[in-house]
Amino acid sequence: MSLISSAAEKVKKSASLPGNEWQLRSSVQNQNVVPACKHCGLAVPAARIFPNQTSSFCCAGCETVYQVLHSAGLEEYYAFRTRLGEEGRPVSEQVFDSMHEFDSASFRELYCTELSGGRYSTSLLLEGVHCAACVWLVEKVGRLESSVRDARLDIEKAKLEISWDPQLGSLSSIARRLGQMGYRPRPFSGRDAEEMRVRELRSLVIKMGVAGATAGNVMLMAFALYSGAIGFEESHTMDRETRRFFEVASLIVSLPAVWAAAPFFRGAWAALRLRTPHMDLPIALGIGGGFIWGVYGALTGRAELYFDTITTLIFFLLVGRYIQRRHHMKARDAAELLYSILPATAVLLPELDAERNVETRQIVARDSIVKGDYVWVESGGVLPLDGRVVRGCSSLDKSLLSGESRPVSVNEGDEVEAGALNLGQPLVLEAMRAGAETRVAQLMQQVERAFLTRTPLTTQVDRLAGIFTISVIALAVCVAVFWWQSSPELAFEHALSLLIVACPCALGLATPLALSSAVKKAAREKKLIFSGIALEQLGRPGILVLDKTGTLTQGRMKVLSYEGDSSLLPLVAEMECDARHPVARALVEYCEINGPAPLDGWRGLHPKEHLGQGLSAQHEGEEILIGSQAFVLRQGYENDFASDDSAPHKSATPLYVSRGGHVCGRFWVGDQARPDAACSLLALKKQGYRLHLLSGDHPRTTRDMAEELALASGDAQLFEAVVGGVLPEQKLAYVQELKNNTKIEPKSGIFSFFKSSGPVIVMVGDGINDAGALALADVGIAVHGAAEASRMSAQVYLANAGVAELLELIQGSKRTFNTIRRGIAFSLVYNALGISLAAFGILSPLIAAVLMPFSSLTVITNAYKSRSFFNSSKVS
Amino acid sequence: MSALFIVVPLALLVSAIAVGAFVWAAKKGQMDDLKTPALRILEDDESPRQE
Repeated sequence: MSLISSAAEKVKKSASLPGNEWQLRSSVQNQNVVPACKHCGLAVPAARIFPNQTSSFCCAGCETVYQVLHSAGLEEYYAFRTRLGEEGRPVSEQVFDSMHEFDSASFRELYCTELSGGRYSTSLLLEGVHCAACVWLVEKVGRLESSVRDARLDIEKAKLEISWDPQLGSLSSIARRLGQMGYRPRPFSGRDAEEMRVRELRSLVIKMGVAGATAGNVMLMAFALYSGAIGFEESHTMDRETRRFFEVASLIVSLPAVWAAAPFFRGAWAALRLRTPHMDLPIALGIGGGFIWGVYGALTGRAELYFDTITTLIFFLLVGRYIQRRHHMKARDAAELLYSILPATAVLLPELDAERNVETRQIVARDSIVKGDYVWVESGGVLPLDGRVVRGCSSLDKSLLSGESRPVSVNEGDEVEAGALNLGQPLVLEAMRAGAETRVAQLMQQVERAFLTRTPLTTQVDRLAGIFTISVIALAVCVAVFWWQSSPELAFEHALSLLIVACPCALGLATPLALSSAVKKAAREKKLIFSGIALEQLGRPGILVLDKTGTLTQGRMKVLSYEGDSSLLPLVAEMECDARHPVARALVEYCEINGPAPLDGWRGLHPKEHLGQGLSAQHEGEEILIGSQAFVLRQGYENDFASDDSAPHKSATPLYVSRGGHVCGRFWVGDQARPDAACSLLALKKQGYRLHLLSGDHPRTTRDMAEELALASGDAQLFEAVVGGVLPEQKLAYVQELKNNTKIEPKSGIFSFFKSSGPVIVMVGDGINDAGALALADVGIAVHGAAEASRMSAQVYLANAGVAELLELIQGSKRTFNTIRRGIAFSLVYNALGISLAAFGILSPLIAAVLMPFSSLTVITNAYKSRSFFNSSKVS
Repeated sequence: MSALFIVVPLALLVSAIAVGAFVWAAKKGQMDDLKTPALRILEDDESPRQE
């Protein structure tokens, strides 16, 4: 069944049962599997199912969100979301955070603006907003917090503009409330920079609008002039007085368009001054030359007017410029989000030994920390800066920077980086680098730079249009000169026909139309394409760089199998249930679903954590150990497992359990390959893609995964290259190097448009550590479950999980690319034919003016009729 | 044809007013966010509370 019809059915069902859609949906899932979480729809673990409760939740986070919405009468959110065919997302324990940093004086000074009447306003970036139901819910925050005066969400930037009255409530309570709704707020620090960007974009929008209005009006007058210029008899043509009127009027109306073309003139001037060829130069020449010629014609009445051609051209070029600009802004937003992941404030210790004295701790703004300051990081907190550990030892989740999913233990003297999550005990850091010097900030700058250096393909369309204008004007002059010898009237008429028939509308429309129609069709298949150019690029085979974690694998630790005594499982679940370690979560999940239900409830085991090794606890006088081989297999222990057992799963790690000196259980924990990975990769390879596997994980794990996939696909040479242990900067460098090695200098001229300039580099990833590489690659694709920052720096986001989606995307792009080629070829053939007919004087201006829209019409039909993203496999 | 000398400037005046309105809207920031307002219209009226 197709996605659309299933969504339609949902709507139908909900219409017949108002208010019960959510129950309906979960009861459908109830029949064959475990009940679904009422908030996010995920499976509910056995330990959280209580018989006398009507609704169950997968975690405490989801339950809190539901309770909050329920008590505020905002349950409609669920019905609304179901009607849209959207699904919820799980909520983590973030809802319990205190968010006290939002109240500090330094926060207010840095991020907030004072409004009249003692109110304040600020911008917050929210995690997890994704659909119309989210907009509805977030903007209703004022119902729960009376201090909120106004709340408006921008879904593209995930940015909430909020104003509140501090007399009625604090910002931290609003922030807490947003967290409880499931959207964790983060401060937005780039307000001034953004204001500048917004002003720039607005000025471009105004210029675009003015140019569009001008082009339309000038075109109307040009039609009057063209149709008035011919007639069967002298008396049927437009009288001289009227013609002069229209000529002068179109000159006056075109003036605003010349003002709107200012960005091109500025670009051309800069190109001249710096002596670097720039595409603005031919455009400015074409526009300027045509306009001056037109002014001369309008004033003397002796030369041809080019105002209609010029104003239309300016309008189309400005539209292209605007789309390009918006794309760049998105890059900056992505970088902004990455930076905002760091906490806005830090806890400063006046001196190192004041660690124990809670009174002397100060909450200060992150940016005011200087090198050498001592900073305290609580358990569960994010490191605000790069530094060296001076007190304490803990384990850190560094997945933000390295992509490594396993926690790393740190001791005194170790260097740690901003953005890592402190999983263990509190730490005291000595600041080494803060603010813009931290590695996260550097990474952010790389994302931004990568976006700006990538040559956008639109310039090729612009260049084509510039060349086109110049050659058409030159050709028109040649034709006029040639026919002048026979008669001046004929020269005038033929040059005119040439100009009308050569109006580059069809040429300018071919690509954008095909792309926008394909993007709409792809969105229905839950493939969100943010940049149409990406589609065009994906149509050509190239190099596919795949990030292992999350792309080819499920992206989270899972217990693949368990050997041994299953009566131990409830004990393991209880021991691990308080740990935040991803492996611990995997164990809990496995034990709760597969183990026997605990008979006597909680036993109060109070497990002791041994950092980086495992857990120990006392139960009924026996010691229970869970952990790595080195930790559990101790001297003199009875062991059920031979140490040289071959692993049943490649790229899996064993974890042992012992009870009273008897090693009696073994878990195999690993990140599993997606079931469809092998066959989809093989299909991609057959389409001519070269596959590279890149991962921040340990090189051995990466190699094992590559071998496993190669084996499953039946092609031993599935991957061209496999690289493990890659840092984010190295990922970026890898993509850069691929680009340098493979790119052929693009040939200039019209034909470069059809020729590929070396293979396309496609990067597929999901982590924040991939963001830079995603932005730099010719096409960045973020996959299901990707972090927001990487989703925003990619041009394509695949909302459905699975590698098959990637294959479908590439096949759809190929069809789109063919459509574009057809469109451009058609409009070029049409123009060439028309121009040559006009040059030889066979085409009259009136017929040319009538024929012109046909060219555009064919291009439009071509774009919309193409089956670019029609998914045959799902329908059948 | 002399009607044109009145009608055409009048038509241009009307389009100038339209362009003026557009410039005003753009300056007010109505073109800043092109996505969220389109979603806001999907919101239903609130159903009466069932007490």
